[in-house]
Amino acid sequence: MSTKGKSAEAQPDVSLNGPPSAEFVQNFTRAQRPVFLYILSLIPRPVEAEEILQETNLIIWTKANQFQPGTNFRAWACQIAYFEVMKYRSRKHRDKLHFNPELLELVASESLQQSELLDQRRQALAECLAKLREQDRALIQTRYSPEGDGLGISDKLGRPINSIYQSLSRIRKSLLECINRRLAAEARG
Amino acid sequence: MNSPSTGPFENQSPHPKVSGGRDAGVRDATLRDANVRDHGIHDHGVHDHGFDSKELGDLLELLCEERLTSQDLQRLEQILHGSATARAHYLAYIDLHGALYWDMAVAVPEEEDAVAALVDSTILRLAHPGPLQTRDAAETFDRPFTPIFDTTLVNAALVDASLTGPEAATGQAGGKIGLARKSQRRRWVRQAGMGVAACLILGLGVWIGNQTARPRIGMSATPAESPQLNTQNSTHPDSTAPESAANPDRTAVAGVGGPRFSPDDVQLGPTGIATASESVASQSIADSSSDREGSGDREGSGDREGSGDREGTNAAKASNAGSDEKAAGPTSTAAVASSGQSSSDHTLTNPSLAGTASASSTKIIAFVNHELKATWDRSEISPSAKADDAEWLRRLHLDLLGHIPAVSDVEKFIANRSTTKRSVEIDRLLDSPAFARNFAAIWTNLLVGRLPREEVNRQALATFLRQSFGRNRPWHEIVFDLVAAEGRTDQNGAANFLVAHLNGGAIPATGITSRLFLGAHLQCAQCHNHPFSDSKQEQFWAFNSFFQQAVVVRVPKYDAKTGRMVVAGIELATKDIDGPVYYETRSGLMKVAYPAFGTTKVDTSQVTSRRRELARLMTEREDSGLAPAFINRMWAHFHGRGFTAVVDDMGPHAPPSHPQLLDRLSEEFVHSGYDIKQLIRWICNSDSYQLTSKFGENNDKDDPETGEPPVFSHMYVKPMSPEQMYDSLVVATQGQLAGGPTLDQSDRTRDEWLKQFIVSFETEENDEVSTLNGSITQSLLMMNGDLIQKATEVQAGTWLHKLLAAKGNDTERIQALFTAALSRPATARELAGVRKILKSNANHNKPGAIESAYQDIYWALLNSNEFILNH
Repeated sequence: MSTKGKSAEAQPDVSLNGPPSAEFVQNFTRAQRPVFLYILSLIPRPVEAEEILQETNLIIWTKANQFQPGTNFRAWACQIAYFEVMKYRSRKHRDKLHFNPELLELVASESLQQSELLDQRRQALAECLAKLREQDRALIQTRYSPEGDGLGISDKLGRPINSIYQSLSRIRKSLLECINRRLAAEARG
Repeated sequence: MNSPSTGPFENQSPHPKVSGGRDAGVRDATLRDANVRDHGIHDHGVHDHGFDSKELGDLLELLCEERLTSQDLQRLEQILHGSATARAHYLAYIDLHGALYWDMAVAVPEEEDAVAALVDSTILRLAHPGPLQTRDAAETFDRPFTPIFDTTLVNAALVDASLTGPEAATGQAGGKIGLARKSQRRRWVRQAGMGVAACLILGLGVWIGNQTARPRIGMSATPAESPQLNTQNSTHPDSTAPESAANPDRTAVAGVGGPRFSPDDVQLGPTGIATASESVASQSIADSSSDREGSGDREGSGDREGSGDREGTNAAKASNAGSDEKAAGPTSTAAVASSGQSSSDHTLTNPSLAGTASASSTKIIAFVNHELKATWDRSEISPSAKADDAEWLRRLHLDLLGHIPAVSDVEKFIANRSTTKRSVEIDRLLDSPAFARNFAAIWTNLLVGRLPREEVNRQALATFLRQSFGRNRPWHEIVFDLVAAEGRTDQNGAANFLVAHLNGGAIPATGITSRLFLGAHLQCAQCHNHPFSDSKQEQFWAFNSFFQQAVVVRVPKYDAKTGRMVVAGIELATKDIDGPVYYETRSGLMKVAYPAFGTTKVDTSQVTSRRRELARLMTEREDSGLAPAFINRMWAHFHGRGFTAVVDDMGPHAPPSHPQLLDRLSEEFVHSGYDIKQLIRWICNSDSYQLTSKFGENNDKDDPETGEPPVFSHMYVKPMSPEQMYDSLVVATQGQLAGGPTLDQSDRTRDEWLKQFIVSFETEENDEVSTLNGSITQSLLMMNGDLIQKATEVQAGTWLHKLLAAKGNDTERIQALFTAALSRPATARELAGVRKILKSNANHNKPGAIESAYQDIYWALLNSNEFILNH
């Protein structure tokens, strides 16, 4: 897609709409993380997902007056994000790995369907992180800090890259398992 | 071993690595045809409708580290297209990845600032759309914005997290406390009319006070509660600590004094619970090695002399046959019980063995008694008197059958004048189906825990164990079946043990197998060499290696109704991998471990079934530790304390209190062909098992609670397990609670009831804890719970109703209540006290006054320490 339509759409019109309400700002803030994760499920690379999120944010902001208070803000935001993902794909289709369109659609709808479950998982994550061994938590923190990738850590700690990948994989799996158990325990009541 | 269905893939190379990495195994997988897999071919990992969760996991890891090639992506798409479960897994994985990325990117600012920053930056971008126009080129992407956004995002995430973290936890606890308070209030109303029961309880307190709790140093009650407490009322916060399972002789049972309950005590409830949850939390994080004492290197149980030649056994037995069967002279039990036994006369006479006990058994029991006496002499301690028949019978029933004896059993036993009646009773109970049921329940809990888990068929495991204990199968055979099990969990109950523990790279399986069967705590060595014992990290992973072929498979089945594939069952299967496991040392070094048991290495090619090999080594080698671990556990089961402080932690770092006894019993156990019932006969016929739980004149220092090694000069008091408590209540009300006359019918109701008290620690070792071990929760439950409410109901059909409707005078009824709850008749003093209560209530002349007086009395009995403890 060309950028022409885009920039027309993204024309700032703040003066006309007036500043969005406090409630809108709050909704907007709260939705950042879930919308980011929604985008990530479609474009599974955080840096790109972040980029798309920023574009989505612009659209949300310019369309603030179109939002019907009382309806689901998040669903609305995800709708916008979905279109942004499509646009991004068509822009980048040559140089990046992407899911095929049918799968994308499937994942998108399932991601929305399961948003409640995913929310619970995100909540459980905090507790599971707290349960990690100090050393594991530090490794995860380093990995997910800006500019922290496997290679960087490998250099920093002087450990072979494969051993870093191995550790990260083990920690992620144990977090995943911990979350599963927490949810299972909650489901049992 | 090859699993039968691997046909199409047999000539493909197996995964050379156990966990993820960019390697040939993954490449291989990408070539496989998804369509074939979708029809239920399974050879790696857990399958659902034909996808390979290990492969998916590897691909997702590559994805997270952005190392996915287009080929990998294709394969991932294929898998995700084919299965909704795979997609759900993908969503969960990528969501975790994203959440970590999101939450950790930047440090956290104040919320308002963050909102302002977010809004500002968005507006800024709107006002200066410059970057938008050039953003097609990723490198020109306006990076300075990102940190600002990140901050906000982190912040929003934190708002989420803080809402759900601690608050959710306290909210839950608060709910429980609220409930407890509510029912407490309800109870208060009732307690106003229950003052009468107070004197009864005081009476019982005198009895139990002698019996269980000497005031102990270091067991201080909090100032708030001490004025209300008797010495036996040891409601110290420690009693809620999760390790109570490891201290079966802990006597803490709170709140015996129901009517004395004051608002101060109610305050104690919530704080007590809070302490419990804190300690649960700290326990789960703390390294479990920290509570181990660093004791010196003394000779361990390992080097017991090798009397391995089995052929000698029969000969030995034959030559023993000539010796006097009734080596220990019979004494009148009544005389012993009443005389109280002088301190010099501690050669307790062994009750003569009944016909089933062989001559060699008599010899072994004599040896046990000799060893016990030697330690008593050495530590200058005189054993307590022999327990009277009622106390002993109640103990035996609780230990063997898992519940108190029925009234008729008590009456029959007390009336029996035979001198061999104790060993006859032991044999009778061992042959009863209730014994197999009880031991099956105990071992089901040990093997798979109490919490129901989706993939574990507890029922099938319990059935397997019940049949095994019922037929008295040798212990090493049972262990072999559990460790080497294969097949569907509903068809082979033994398979459920490992199905429950293969999660997390079989780390739980490694820990529990060595702990339960071999008495060796390897789990700490998962991450580091053990500081005190000899277990090394390498050992853990070498042991872990044995479980690497084991895999849990969901067997798919076509459902004609819905036209979909559904899970038909869970199967424990073997995958054909070879090679080592990889692990990481503390310094981050990657190492490999091949399966090895002690110094015995095992063939690592695929044709060897590693679990069969492990099972064989565990059960065939006499130095495997299988026998001593079982002896120690069984001794602790009957005596409330094993030969080591922690029953399943044995080794050079934990020297046993009675090394010769442990060695000899282990040796004899092996020679008997791991005969479980025979072992129980030896233990239950020993002198120490006959003793009362009351302290004698010269043995008050024999109290393992103070850290002294046990000498078994009196019976250590055991708290009832939740199962024992439930079943005992069923027996005490003559089946009224079970909804049927037999305990079998109550199994399901019991499990339902138990669920509410079991808390999972959610650790890597699948730990859980029961809140029903002498804790505040337990006492609140006993005072206010529905179960006790039902047990003391007087309505048509209930036990109390029948008792009151039947012919008989007050004395007979009171005796019936005492025998039902405490398995003994009331003493003269108790009788007089209870009569007084009845009389004062009858004077009110109100309808139902007598009934409610009886109700109160029964309630008080069921809430007494004497009921709630196994003594």
